[in-house]
Order: sequence, then C-alpha cells, then structure tokens
Amino acid sequence: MKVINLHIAEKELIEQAVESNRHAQHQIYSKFSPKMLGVCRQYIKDMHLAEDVMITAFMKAFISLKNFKHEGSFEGWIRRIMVNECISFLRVQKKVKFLEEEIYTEESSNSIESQFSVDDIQFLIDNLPDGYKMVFNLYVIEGYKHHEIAELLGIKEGTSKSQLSHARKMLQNNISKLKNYTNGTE
Amino acid sequence: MEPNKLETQIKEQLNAREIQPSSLAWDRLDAMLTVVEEKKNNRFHFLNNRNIGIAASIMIIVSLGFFYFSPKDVASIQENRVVIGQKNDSNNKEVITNKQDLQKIQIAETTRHNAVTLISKPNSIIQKAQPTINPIIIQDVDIEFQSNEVIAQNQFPKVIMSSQEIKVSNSIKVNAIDLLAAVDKPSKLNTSPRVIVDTKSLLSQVDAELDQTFKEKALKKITKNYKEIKVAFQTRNQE
Repeated sequence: MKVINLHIAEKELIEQAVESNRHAQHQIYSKFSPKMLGVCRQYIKDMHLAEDVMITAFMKAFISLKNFKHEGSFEGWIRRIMVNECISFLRVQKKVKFLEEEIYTEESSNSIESQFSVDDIQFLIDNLPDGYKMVFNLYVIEGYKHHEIAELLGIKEGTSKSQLSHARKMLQNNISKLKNYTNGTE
Repeated sequence: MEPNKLETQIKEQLNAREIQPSSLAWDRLDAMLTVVEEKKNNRFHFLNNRNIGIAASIMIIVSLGFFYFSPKDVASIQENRVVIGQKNDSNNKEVITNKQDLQKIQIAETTRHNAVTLISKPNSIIQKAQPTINPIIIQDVDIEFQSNEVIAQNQFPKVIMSSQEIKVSNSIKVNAIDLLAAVDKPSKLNTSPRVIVDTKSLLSQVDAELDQTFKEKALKKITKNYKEIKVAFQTRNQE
C-alpha cells in the first residue's frame, strides 16, 4: 500500500512538473540528481563538467517531461537522457575516437575477482580511452546491446565489440597493476 | 561476452553511487528553466501575432481582389460614339453623337445602384457611380442622341433606353425626356464656361510672332548698316 502511494506521489509530482510547477521540479531534481550526477561522472572525468551536463540534461528532461508516458521507470527515463547528453557532450568536445577495427577476441570468463571501492573502480574506468570507456559503460553499466551502441554512437557493431574487447583487456591490466600496487609488489 | 563477476560488481557499485551536486546547481537549473519558459511564451506570443498578421494580410488581399475583380459593367465610348452595353450586337448598341467633338466618353455603370455616369475626360478614366438621388451625371452638356433609341444592355441589369423611356430589367424606368432635361441642366461640375484652347495653334502663333519680330529687327539692322556703309562710300568718293 505504501509503495502504491509513493508511485502515485511520483506520478502527481511529474504531472505538476509538466505544468512547470517549480516546486515539483525541485523535488524531482532533489530526488534524482545525486544518482544522475554519478551517471554523468562515469562518462566525464571532470566533476564540474559532469555537473554542467547533468543540469543541461535535467533541463531537457523537464522540457520533454510531457512525453513521459508512465509506462516504464521514471528513473530509467531520466538516466537515458543523462547518458545521451553525456555522449553528445563528448562528441561536441571531439574527445571520442573510434578505431574502425572489427577484430575482437572473446574474453575468458576467469577474470580477476577482487573487491574494489567505487573510487578505485572509477579511477580504473577514467584511465580508459574515451572510446573504450563509452562502450564499456554503455554495455556493462547501462546494459545496452552492441547493435544499440552501434546505433547510438554511429559506429559499426563490430567496432563496438572490438572497443569493448580492448576496454576489458586494458581494464584487467590496470586492475592487475592496481592490485600489485596495493599489495606492494610493484 | 556476458559481463563477468568483476563487471557485475562494477555495475552494482556504480549504480549505487550517489554524488551530491553543488548547492548552486539547482539555482542554475532554475535560471535555465526560467529562460526557456520565457522564450517559449515569447515564441507563442510571436506566433499569435504572426497569425494575426497573416490573417490581416489575407483579408487585405481578398478585399483587394474583390475590389479589382468584382464584375464591373463598363462601357467605353469611342470618339464621337457612345456605346452603352458590353455586347456589340448591332441591335443592342446605340450611338450618341457629341456635338463638341468629345474625344472619349466613358460610361461606368454599377449594378448595385443602377447608376450611369458619363465622363467627358479624354483619358480613359473609369469612375464608379455614387449612390445619389439622381443617378445620372452628365458632365458635357451638349450630348444629343443621334437615333431615337438607346439600348443599354449589360449582363446584370438590362437597361433599355428609348426615345420615350429607358427600361431597366429590374423594373426601373427612366424617362428619356427627363434624361435629356438632366443633360440640358448645367451640372455643378460645369459651372465654369468651357473654353477650348488649342495649345498647338497657340504655340505656333507665338512662334510666328517671335519670328516676325526677329525678322523685322534683323531687316532694320541690315538696312541701317547698309545705309551707313553707303554714306561712308559716298563721302570717300567725294573726297
């Protein structure tokens, strides 16, 4: 019963925000902005730029809020807007370069298992090239399929696969290095 | 290539992460939303104004089109001939002879007011008849009908003019005698007496006068000089 009430509350809040009710918009912003800033931070290394992108994405979300049909998760809907805005930002900055190679190797499943903090994970992802990082984030974190990534980024599906393959390899190497560094072996 | 355990761990940890934005972030977003809403309102206002403008321009175009392309029953009168009616049927058209050699007379007839205007201007200016009590305005006094019958036939009100009466199809009868009487009456526009000035003849006359005076002066000078020379020769010969 409580969950239903919360859902209704969110729906009402969205309907009020559609009517440009600034209080409702502020409530939505307060509820989702910490998570969304985390999403933006996955793609953009600079925290200030990530916040700028998040604000722009929230503005676009509020403008197109009337298009939300309450069919799926509202958080998922906002998250998609954030991801798209991050991709657009990186494209404008011309930071993303995809090598059109379609050769990729199947990764072994016996990958390194270790407990890392979120900051460590973010550090490892930040050290990936932008192209690798973007495909890795879209595939692993957001759960996109390769054909969806290819469509979203305007690349071939094989390129997406090869980028992911390279990203995984590089990430495993970096994890090994980090583990060795933390263990004091290096 | 399904996500392995490490990737699942990365996903869970990153999805659970929350980063608190700066306190100014909402203020910036608020300002941006305000600007966007103002722009939106201005755009709608502009659109409304533009729609009004478009509607007004359409109205103007339609009214102008109606004004220019509305059916006008205009009959032109050529030199010394007045043809009333659009059809050139010999039975229907009639001729009015003007005594004073009017160059052109045009008749504009409006169907609404059943009025006929005769204009004596040489240029082909079409005037719309105004709804007046006496709908017939004849500027040139000396117009007389050559034949006994004038038939004005138009598309809308069929006007039949005869020596006795002018019959209009929508049951308006005009007595020809009254019409002639109206013609004989000096209209308000013709208060000043008509003076015909032939500009060409006037100019040629002036030129001729100028030529004459010039010739006279020249002859006088020549004769004077001739006399002086003659006297001078005579005095020299005597010496």
